[in-house]
Amino acid sequence: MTELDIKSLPALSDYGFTGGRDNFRVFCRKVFAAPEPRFLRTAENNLVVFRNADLIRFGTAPEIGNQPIGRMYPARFKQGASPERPPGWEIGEVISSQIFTFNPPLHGPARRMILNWLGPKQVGQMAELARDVARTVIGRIRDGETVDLVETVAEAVVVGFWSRLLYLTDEEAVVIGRCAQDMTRLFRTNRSQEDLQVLDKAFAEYARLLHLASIRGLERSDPAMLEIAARLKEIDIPDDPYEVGLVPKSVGAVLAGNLVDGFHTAALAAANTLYVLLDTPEALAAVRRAPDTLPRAITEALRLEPPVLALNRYALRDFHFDGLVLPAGNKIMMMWAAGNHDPSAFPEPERFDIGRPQPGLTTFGSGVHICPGRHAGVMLTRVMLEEFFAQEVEIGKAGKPAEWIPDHFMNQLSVFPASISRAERGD
Amino acid sequence: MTDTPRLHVTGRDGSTWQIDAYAAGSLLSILRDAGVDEIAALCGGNCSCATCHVYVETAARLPEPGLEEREMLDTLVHQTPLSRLACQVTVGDGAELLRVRIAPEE
Ligand code: HEM
Ligand code: FES
Repeated sequence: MTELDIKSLPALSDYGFTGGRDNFRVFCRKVFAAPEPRFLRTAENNLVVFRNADLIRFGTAPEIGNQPIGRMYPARFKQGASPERPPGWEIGEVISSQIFTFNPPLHGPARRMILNWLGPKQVGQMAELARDVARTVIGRIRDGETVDLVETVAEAVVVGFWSRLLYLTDEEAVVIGRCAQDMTRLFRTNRSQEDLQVLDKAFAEYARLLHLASIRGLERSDPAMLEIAARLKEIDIPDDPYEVGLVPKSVGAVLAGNLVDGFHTAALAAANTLYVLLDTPEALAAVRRAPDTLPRAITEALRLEPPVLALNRYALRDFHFDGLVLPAGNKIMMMWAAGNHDPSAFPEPERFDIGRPQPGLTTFGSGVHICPGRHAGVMLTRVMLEEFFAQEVEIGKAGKPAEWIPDHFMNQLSVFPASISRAERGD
Repeated sequence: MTDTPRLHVTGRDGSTWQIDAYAAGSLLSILRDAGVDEIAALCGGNCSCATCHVYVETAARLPEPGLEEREMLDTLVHQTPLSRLACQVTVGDGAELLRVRIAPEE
């Protein structure tokens, strides 16, 4: 067994990747032009996994777990640390209840709280609420208007849905929507002190609102919240920030921790799907004609424009593979989006092809950590599109181009202007 | 007797596979080894994604699903009394006769 020599690997920057969507596309064309290198490294000498087969192999390996909160924010748990809260504290406060920072034995029972709340059947029962929100959001748009589909539609539907589901008032929905926008800074490749300040404020306010939501839900005997509370009570695992994680201290903490992607990333899925369909008019026309093809179209759109470019994992134990060993304690950058653009898994990866075989997608990760919110995210995108069709709203590209956020670990549109025409006014 | 396939699989589009010899293991690995490639199994066989949902139509000799499998099955729109997660079903050394249908995608 040879130890994987990460320092000698080519750097991400050698292949031109500095973050953001446009940059990512160029990176993929370059890196997939040859079967080597198999791996890359970040500027901090962390391993980068980007080929489809490796993403699935590493993703499903029990040795490759989540990055524990104590490794993400080491200063936070140091003995005798100053009681002063350093920048980034409030982010850590929320994230430490996210199952994305948990490993066994906490990961399984905590994850099941979310899976049982947001499984396909449960999410199916939430679709009417989502439709109601989407109907209002899309109904407000006037014939002949030019709108930003990101803010006016995708974010409005997604934030409106969670807010209604979680008993937030309209005013609170506006506030939490702004927090979700601010959370975009979390995924910048180089976060500044100002970013941390904005993020701390956004996370604190967002957590306060979701704590309120949990109290309201429990007071109203909301079955989902009662279930989360009951499951939480049963978890009896000592806190261990350096490997296992910290048991969430309340239902509000569970919601806040695990809905960051609910409020933020799900809106990217909706916007990116619109982007792909507008960019492929024949695909948009085809799904309008045959709405039962919508799920496949969304899957293919999210293959092309996956919301998450990269997220980190962590080697809990030495990982042996192909005569190599990746030692325990290594942080690993998983470029999930690249798995969808690897031509060995998806030939002609930049072409929209609704008929292509879909196994092997890495949009939502792979393995035991595969995104537990994916059914909710996809349902919101589907309902939004169905509502555009139901209201006979035509969306066309506007004069100004869509813009993607550069230097980012998300594949996120900052603005997506579109012109709207509708058959009838939905007053 | 030997002409009776031990495992009869029906895919989503109605295509069929007959498997009369397989090594003991999880139903998921048996199906994969037999070339049934339409099961996404996104979590890699960890009872965490339910994309290996199948209907097992002759289940007499199979152990009952455990709590975690039952909970995952309860999240599925297409759940029926025959529902199982292929990754959680252990099949012996070719002794059982099973009819398996791949469940629709959720
Ligand atoms: C719709 C767009 C979304 C995308 C593209 C997405 C993508 C991802 C990816 C790539 C991972 C990493 C999985 C891995 O390491 O294998 C992940 C994990 C996670 N996602 Fe999502 N996500 C989305 C929406 C959501 C939503 C709506 C929620 C919550 C309601 C959510 C909650 C989570 C959580 C809690 C994890 C950590 C899972 C674990 O470690 O077990 N995500 N997601
Ligand atoms: S493969 Fe994921 S539950 Fe069976």
